[in-house]
Amino acid sequence: MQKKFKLVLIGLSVLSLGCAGFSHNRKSPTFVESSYGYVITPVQSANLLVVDWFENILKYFKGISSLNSENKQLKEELLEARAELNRLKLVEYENLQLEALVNLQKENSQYKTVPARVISKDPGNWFDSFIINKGTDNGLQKNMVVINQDGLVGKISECGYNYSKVISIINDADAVSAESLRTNDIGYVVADFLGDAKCKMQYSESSADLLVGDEIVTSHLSEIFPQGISIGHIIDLTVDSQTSIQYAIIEPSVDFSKLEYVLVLDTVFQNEYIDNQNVSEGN
Amino acid sequence: MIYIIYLIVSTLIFIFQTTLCQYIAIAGIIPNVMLIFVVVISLLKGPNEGLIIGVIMGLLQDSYFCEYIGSNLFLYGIIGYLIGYLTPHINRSSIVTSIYMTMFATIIYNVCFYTLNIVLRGYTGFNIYFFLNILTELVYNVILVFLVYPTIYYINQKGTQYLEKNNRF
Repeated sequence: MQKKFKLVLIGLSVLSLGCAGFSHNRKSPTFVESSYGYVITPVQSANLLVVDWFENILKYFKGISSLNSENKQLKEELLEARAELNRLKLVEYENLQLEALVNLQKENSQYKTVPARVISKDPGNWFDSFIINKGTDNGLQKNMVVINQDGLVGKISECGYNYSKVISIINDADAVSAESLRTNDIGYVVADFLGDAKCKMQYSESSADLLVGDEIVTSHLSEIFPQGISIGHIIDLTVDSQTSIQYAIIEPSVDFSKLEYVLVLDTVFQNEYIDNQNVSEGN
Repeated sequence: MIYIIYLIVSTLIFIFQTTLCQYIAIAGIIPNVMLIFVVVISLLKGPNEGLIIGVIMGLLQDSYFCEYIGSNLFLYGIIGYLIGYLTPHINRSSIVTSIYMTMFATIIYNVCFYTLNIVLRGYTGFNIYFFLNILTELVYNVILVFLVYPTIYYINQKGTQYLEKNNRF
């Protein structure tokens, strides 16, 4: 019996190490994975329909009791909103002029985007990777950038035919080159597994000038992410007790626990970067 | 034949875990139904079936959510085998055994997963959140055993009776 246990232990170790070596740096899922994913993706999407159905019924019953009071409240809010709207139109005009100066937002709007829905999430509690319902059939590729309305979500790490695996920025494997919007100090954002905020930024402490509240965006040094996508803002500056490296604790702009719809930027920036380099060398 | 049923049931539980289970999270922590299933199967059917179910579950989770295939394959497999292997003289059909074994499996799985995937990458921080995460999942898993165990016990008994009656295997 003991011999058999040793045999199982050794067999499993060899099998998993072999698989890890085989899957190291792979470009796309194997045929078996891809076809299995092709079969189970519709089932996962169907599960979402069940959830939506329950949510709609719940909303309906919640709605009935509060409709009258809500109606009164909404009318009052409408008056306030109209006044606010007039004020905002003035602000918007001013904002347009400023935006032209900063020219960050406009750079993002030039990329084509593919909307996608999150259909399943990591079963464990340590990582935050998830699967979206678009794949190579919609022209997605590895290393495409995933965002939502709030900011940067992550990048695509593998593409099946009708599903893609997304690694979020709060995964350790994925360090994002970042800069502070106020001072342009460069650093990189890594995951913080054992903290509330789940993200932290390492930077060169001698030269950087960071303050609590600074907004952190992706930097121009990043090979995968385009410049100027919001990552989060600093909520604390600390020193790691074991390694005595200085960190800025970052609250991500995106709420990863409530992620449902995401946008995929339909451009692989990595190739673009390499192409530009070749062109400049050629010249 | 029986292995195809194992594959289908494992896939269904994997899909349940990755979609519907996300909606019953408490404080951001979700229970691990896959692990409970591996433990219960290993207790009811023995170490070999536990090993097979564990390897299927690990492969599924690794290939769809992890960067490298291997860590979950090893952990689920060895847990599935160990649970059946360590308990030959205990009354396996008692629910108390499955509660203790789920607690054991949850702790082993989380500590080893953290070590394999995070500590070995050079991230060596340990603080209160590490223990809180594991403790929350532990409590949640133990609550779910009361649901999962009777269901699988019932299905297992019915299935065995059906197979004995028809003498197919």
